[in-house]
Amino acid sequence: MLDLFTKRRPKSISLKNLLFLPVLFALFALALVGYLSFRNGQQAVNDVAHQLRLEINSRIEEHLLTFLDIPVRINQANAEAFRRGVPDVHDQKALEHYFWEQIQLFDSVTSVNFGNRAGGLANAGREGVGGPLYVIATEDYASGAFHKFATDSYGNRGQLLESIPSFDARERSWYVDALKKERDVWSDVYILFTGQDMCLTVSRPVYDTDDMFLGVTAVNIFLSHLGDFLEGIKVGERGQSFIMERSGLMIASSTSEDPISSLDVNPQHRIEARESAISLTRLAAEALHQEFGDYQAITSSHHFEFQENREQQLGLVRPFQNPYGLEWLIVTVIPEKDFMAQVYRHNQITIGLILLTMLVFIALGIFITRRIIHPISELNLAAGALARGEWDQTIYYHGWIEEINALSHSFNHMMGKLQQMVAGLNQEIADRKEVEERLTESEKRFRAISELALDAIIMINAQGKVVYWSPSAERIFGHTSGDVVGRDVHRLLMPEKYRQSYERGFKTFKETGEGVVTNRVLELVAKHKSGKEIPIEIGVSPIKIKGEYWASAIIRDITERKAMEEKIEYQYEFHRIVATISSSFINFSKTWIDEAITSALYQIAIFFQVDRSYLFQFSSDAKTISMTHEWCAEGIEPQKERIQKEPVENQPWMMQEIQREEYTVIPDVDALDYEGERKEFQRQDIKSLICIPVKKDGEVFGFLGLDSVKTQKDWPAEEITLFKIIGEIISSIMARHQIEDELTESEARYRTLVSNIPGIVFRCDMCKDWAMRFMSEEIEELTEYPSSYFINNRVRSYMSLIHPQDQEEVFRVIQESISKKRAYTVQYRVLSASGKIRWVLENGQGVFDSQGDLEYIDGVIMEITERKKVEEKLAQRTQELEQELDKAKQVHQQMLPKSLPTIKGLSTASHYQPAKKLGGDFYDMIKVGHKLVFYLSDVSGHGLDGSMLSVFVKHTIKGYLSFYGVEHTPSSILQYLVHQFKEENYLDSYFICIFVGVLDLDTMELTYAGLGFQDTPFVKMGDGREDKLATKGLFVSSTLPVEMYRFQEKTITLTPGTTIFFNTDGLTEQGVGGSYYMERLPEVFYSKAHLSPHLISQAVVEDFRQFNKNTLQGKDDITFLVLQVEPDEMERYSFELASDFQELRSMQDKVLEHVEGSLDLDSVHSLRTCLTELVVNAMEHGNSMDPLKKVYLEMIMTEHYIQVVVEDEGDGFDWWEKIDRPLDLEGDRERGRGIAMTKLFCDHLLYNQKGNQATMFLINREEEE
Amino acid sequence: MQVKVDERESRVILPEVVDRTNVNELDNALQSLYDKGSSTIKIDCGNLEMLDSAGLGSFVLYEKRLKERGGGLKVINVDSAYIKHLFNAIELNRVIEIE
Repeated sequence: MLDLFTKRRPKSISLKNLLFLPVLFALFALALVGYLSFRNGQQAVNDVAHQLRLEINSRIEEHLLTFLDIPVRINQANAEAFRRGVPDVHDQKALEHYFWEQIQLFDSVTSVNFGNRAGGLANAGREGVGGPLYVIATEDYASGAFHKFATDSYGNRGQLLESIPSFDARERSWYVDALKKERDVWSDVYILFTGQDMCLTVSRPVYDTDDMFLGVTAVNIFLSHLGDFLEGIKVGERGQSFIMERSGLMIASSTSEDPISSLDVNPQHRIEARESAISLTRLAAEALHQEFGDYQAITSSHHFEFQENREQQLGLVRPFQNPYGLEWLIVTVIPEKDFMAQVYRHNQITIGLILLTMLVFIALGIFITRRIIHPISELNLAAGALARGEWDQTIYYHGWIEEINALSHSFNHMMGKLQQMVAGLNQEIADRKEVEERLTESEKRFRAISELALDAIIMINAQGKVVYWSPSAERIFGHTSGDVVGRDVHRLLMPEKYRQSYERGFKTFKETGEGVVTNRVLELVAKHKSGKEIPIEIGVSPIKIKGEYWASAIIRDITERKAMEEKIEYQYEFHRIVATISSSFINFSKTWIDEAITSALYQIAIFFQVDRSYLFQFSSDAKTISMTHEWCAEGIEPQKERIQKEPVENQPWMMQEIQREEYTVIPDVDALDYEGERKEFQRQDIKSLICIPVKKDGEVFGFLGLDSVKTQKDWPAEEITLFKIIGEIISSIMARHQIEDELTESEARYRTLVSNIPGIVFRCDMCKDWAMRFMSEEIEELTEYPSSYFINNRVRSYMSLIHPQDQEEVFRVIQESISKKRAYTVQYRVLSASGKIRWVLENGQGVFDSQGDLEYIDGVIMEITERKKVEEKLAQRTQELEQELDKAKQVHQQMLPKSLPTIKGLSTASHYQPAKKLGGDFYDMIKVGHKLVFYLSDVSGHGLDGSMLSVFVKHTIKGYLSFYGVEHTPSSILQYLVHQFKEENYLDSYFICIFVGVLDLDTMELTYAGLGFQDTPFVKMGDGREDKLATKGLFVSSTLPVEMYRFQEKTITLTPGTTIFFNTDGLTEQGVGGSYYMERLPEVFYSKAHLSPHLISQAVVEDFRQFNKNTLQGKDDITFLVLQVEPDEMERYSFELASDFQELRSMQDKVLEHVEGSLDLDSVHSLRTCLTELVVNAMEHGNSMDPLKKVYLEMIMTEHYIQVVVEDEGDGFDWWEKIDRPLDLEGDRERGRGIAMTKLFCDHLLYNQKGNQATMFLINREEEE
Repeated sequence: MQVKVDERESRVILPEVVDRTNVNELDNALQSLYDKGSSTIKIDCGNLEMLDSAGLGSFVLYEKRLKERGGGLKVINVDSAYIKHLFNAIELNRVIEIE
């Protein structure tokens, strides 16, 4: 797509131009519309002008016809009149008058005359158009003198105007032509002899009725009349019309121009149109002449155009002719502008408007284009810059185009993302470069290291073939690199038996890069070249190469370590067995002794890996011996049943050995010299065995033995020693229990007796009023009634004897058991005949028929009055014991240190919450010289004895410390404690777990050791490092021999700010809903360890309360200690104030002086408020304003918190009731608002138990976050 | 560090600190205006930067007394962030009008 696109990409145009296209198009359309409207206008005007010219020419033509027709008609009329003799043509005067009257009638006629055959003339005419009238007459009405007279208003001759001496009508052309042609004749146009006008004459011969020629009559017309007519026609504004002859001589014109030259010119002549002074006339004639070459050629109407002064002129020429041979041309010329002026003006306005519109369009176009283009080109620039790698592009555009805003916003957003991405990419590139560099280097180093490494380094490809085999691998597995590269690693190294599972695992690995062996260290067994199996430790990591998972492995030969571990494990296991055996004997009651011994035998057998373990005991007369306890491995035949009361003589050597030696070992039974024993052992398939005697008060009463049946077994000295220790333990336990057994023997006998006494058997019909069907006779002993009384309720019902208070319960129990078809047991009281109350226990069960209906109840009744008495006594004793316990509890708490010693540079806090019954936790902290000794102990048992044991611990340690001075170590203290415990000969069930620490206050070196102390104290060093104080050792118990104790001491140097948290298992083993507090404690401690011990304690307590369903009560004692070395930057101020407010004021000032600069204003105010409230409370409520009583104030400031302790000398108060009260704003002055105010502004507020010491904390929140 | 009284406006002007050591001055000031029969007293906290429970007790007491007259206290010009925080925290505005 992209390719296609780029190939075919058309020539691009800029957006600017593109946006301008519509504008251009609009402009073009506008121009076109303008042009077309102009053209249409012009066309319309031209049409109008055309019409107008035609119209004008027509009018002129019509006028000409009329104008030229009038004289012809006059002539005709006159000729007719003269022919009839009215008037008489011979009467000059009458004729003269007749003409005068005619002249008045016809305006356009200049003169009318008659010339007789004598050459005389009668004439009447007018001087020019509208001029005065005149008459002319020749003397005697014949040729000769000619006189012209003005006329009065009646036509009478007046003043003689002019006279011409000789005139002969017969010589005039009008006379001659008419006579010659004998019809109407038109003269040529001629100039009047007066020169004032041009004239045209129509003459006609006149005949009498006899057709005798009388003369010629003529009518003259002035052509200026035509000019006047033309002038009267309005030809546009500046248009004109003129008439000319085909010769080109002017006849008339609508202009003022005369068609004849002026009078001054001599001779006077007519003017040619082409010579006209009027340029329009001249140019029109010229144009026509040019067009036609000769005016004669114009045969029809013709439109023509020409230019005058660059103005278009529209002309029309029209030929004119009348029946008498006049041939003229009528020309009308109109300047186009006359018509187009308006059109032009309109066009100008239109063009102006178009131009204006165009300008607006262009401006708008430019504006919009710029508005769009500007941000886009900015975007373009930014994007261009981006392309060049300038990443910090941002567009600050916010205009009114929504899309562009969105676009620039998107761009900026994209920019941000790009910047991040590019930064990431750059980082990645840099990283990659570095990685590449390092890779080369690491390659070298890898070679160097792998070649030097003690561990084997092997790499395999996805097919499991070896691709790299380090020199150490050669050393460990015996194969050389050359031998193995390319071979299957699993076939090479994996023992046959594991191979399948390896291959399965490898298949998963090939697909996922993960497997059972990846990314962790595993211990496996591998095969050496020699075929020997060697234990290895292997770490496999996947390497993804070309989409396949390869694997690299680092392999360590752990043969030696394994051996070492096994040894340690062995020792540990031994310790564990010793402890288990001891504790199982402690915890099990005497009746469970046999099981305890069997369990111990099992443990021993597993430990020593033998097939059978057992205990033999001599009979009291020492004549026979019996196997009393035995444990056998699977598949080993038990011997206990068989070997009972075996005479000792059968194995004389063995018996002798046991009596005399500490142990007897027979490594190879077959090699035994003594036949009796050998045969016996062989019978049991024993290959090897070991026996040790068990003694009581130095006397052997039996022996413990271990048999190896399956294999022969060597008994190394070490194992023998261990077995001897166990033998001693069991001896001592057995010895004790033998004594106890004797004590309980009588009781057992008694119990057997009791169990033989049968109960009272009965069958009862519940449906028939509980009537007895059968009842043993022994009922009489109980009720003092014979049993027959109760059969079928004959005398009384048995039920009636049941104590009224118990009846309801008895019925309920029986009903319920019957409905559920289950057996029941119920205890109740029975009243005897003599009124004695006896307790009985009744066991019964319903008997049902085949339909499931109840038939009877069968049961047994036994008297338990004695037992009840014992039980009651026991309950009483329990109650007494509980009272004792409460006392013990008080004693225990009083024994705990009231307060921990105050030591400069150290802060401490402790918490103790006893279990419901009394717990056995105890702690103390004692300063001896420059050392601080502290311990935390947990003793077995919760009760008085536990408490007594705590007393023992306390006094023993205290005694030791005071007696042995300062040279003591945790182990010396513990050693002494173990020793004393043995001395005291405590019961087996008692033991002590304890942690002891000795802190050298000069060097801050802490030495510690523990015995059976399970909870490892947490440490947070001053530098934030986390650590733990692990200890190892058996608990203190009289059952364990002293030699077994190891006192392992460890040392840690506490840097400033180090905090340690010590606790007993009660805290960590407290469980709620399957989870234990151990899971939460470390986080709480480590997150708060930088705060003061009080706060840490508070935090743990609160967290524990939350965890423990809102109570601090644990199943066991909850005890912990917090010890903190004060941090370096800690500042400590102490104040002592008398109970006086003036002192308060000065204390405030001093305190504020100390904190100024290191606290923000809010904290200063908070501190001040809290201080004021606490001190005021201490003065007012604690010391009751007694000026002799003091208030002590101690302030500690660290970078993490401020702690202020305010203590008074009063009796304290019930703070626990007041501390959670909200601030009360109801109207009273004193409402204990001080505590609420303090709580409002500090982070924690704690009181001591008594209530005379308050501790408040402000925590540096910034630091917290 | 003196509590000032503006009798004309029935106003008490608090100093920077009002606590147990000088609360009697505040009491006296409020009492004097109370005795003159004012039913509304303004407490000008413009300078106040620290107030303890004793000072607050005085506020509460006189609010109660003035309320019985149909008036009350009116805390004005609370400027300090700490005092604002205090008044907010104890929701003093539920009891006393704060401008």
